[in-house]
Amino acid sequence: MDYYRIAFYLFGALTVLAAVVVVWSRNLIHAGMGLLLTLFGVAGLYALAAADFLAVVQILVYVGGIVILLLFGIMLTQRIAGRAPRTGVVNRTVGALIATGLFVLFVMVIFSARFAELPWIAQGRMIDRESAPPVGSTVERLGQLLVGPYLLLFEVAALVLTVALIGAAYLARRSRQEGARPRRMIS
Amino acid sequence: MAFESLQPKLLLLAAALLALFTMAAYTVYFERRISAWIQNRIGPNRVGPFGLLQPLADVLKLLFKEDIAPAAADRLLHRLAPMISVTAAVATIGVLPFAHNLILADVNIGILYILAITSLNVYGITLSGWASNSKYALLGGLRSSAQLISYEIAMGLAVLSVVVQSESLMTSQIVEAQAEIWNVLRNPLGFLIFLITAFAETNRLPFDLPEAEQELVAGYHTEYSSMKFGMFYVAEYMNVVLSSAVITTLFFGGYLVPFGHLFMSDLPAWARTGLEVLSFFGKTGFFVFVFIWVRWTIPRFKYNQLMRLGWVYLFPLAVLNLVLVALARMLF
Repeated sequence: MDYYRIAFYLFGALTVLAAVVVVWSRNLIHAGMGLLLTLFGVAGLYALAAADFLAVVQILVYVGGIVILLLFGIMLTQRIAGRAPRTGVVNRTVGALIATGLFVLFVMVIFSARFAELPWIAQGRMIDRESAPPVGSTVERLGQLLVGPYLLLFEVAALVLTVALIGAAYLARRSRQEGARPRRMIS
Repeated sequence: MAFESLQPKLLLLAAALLALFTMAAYTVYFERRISAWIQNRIGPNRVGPFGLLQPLADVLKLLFKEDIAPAAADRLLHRLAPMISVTAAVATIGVLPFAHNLILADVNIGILYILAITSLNVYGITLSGWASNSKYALLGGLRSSAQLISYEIAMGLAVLSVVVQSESLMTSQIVEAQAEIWNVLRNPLGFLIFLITAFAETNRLPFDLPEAEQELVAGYHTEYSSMKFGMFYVAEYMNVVLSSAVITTLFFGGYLVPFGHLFMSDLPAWARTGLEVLSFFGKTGFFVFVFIWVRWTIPRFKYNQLMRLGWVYLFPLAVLNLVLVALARMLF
C-alpha cells in the first residue's frame, strides 16, 4: 500500500463516518460538526484527485463559510428561544421508502454509467503515478475556461448570487424598521 | 512514494514546528516585557537571566493546574475546540517559504490554502463559546465569528490584489516576483488593508472584542483552565507569528535579503540559505513587535464601529484597490 492509497481510504472513511453522524446525531451542533468533517473529507478526496483548486475552494466556501453560518443559526436560535428544536424521527415508513428508493436509483445510475469506460477516466488510469510528470496547476486552465467558453454561465451564476444577496439585504432591512417602531413610541 | 523521499521534508517540518512553538512562547515573554516597557513597569525578570526562562515556567504552571470543565458543558466540543484552534494555526506553516527552495509544500494554490486554513480558526472560537454553556463565552464566540467572517472578505481582496501583481497563487513565486521591488511599495493600500484585517483576524487589540474583559470576563475562553486554556493562548500567539510571516511573504519580499542582488551571488549556497532564513525570521520578528506595539498603544473599538469599519470602509476600499492594481497591471 502506498501513501496515496492510505490517504484515499482515510479521507473516504472520514467522509462516510461523518455523514453517518450528521444523520444520526440528535444534537444539532454535533450534526453540524459532522457536516464539517464530511465536507473536509470530500476536499481531501479532491486534493488526491489532483484537483487542488477545487479542494481549497471546497474548504473556503463550505467549511469556512456555509457550515459556520449554519452553526451560527443553530446557536442563535437553540439556547435563546429556551426550547430545544425537534430532532426526533417522524414518518418512519414514508421516509424509509423514499430513502431506499433513492438508494436503489443511485446504485443503478452508478452501475449503468460505466465510469471505467468513460474516455477521460480510462486515459487517467493509464498514467503511472511514479513516472508521470507532476500535474500542473488547474487554476490557470480553469480561469481561461471561465472567461472564455463558459463566460455566460459564469456571469449568470454571478447574477444569481447578486440577486440572493439583494434579497437577503432587503429582508434584513425590513425587519429592522419594524423593530425600530416600538422603540420610538417609548421615548 | 518512498519513505526516504519524505525524510528531508519531515526534518524541515520538525524544525519549522520547533521554531513556531518557540517563537509563540517567546512572543508571550516579549509581549509582557514590551508592555511593561511601554507602561513604565519592569515586567517578568526573575526566572533566568532577564526572565528568559519565564515561558518554560508558565507552561509548567499551566500543566500542573486542575483541568475544570463546567458541569453543563458539552464535553466533547469543549475538549475539541482548543485542539481546532491550535491545528488551524499550525497548519499554515505548510506553504510558507523560509528560503529559496526551503518550503514544506510548494503547492500551486499556496495563498488560497492559507486563506482556507485561517478560516477554520473561527470554529475553535465559536465552538468553545457554545460548548462552555456560559453567556459570556457564547457572546464572545458569536462576536468573534461575526468579526472573522466580516474581515475575511477584505483580507481576501487584499490578497487577490497581490496575486494580480505576481500573477501566481504559489507563495514561492509571490516572493520571487518581489525581487525588484517589494509589494508594499507597489501596493501600499493593499498592505494597509491586509495589516488591519490581520489584527482583526487574530483578535488582537484594537479588535479584541471577543474577549473584552470589562464586558465578557474573558470571552470565549472564560470557562477554560489548565492546558486547555494554554492551548488557546498558544494558538493566539501562533496566529500573531504566522500573520507576521504571511505579511512578510506577501508584502515585504519574504525571504529575499534587502539589496541581496549586490552580494548574494558571490556567497556559497549554505550562506545564502542561512541569510535568507535570517531575513525571513527577522522581518517576521519585526511585525510581531508591531502587533505588540499596537496592542499596548491603541484602545479597543466599539462593536458598531468595528462592523462599520469592516463593511463600510475596508470592503469598498479593498475593491477599489483591486481595480486600481488590475488597471495598473494592464497599462504598465
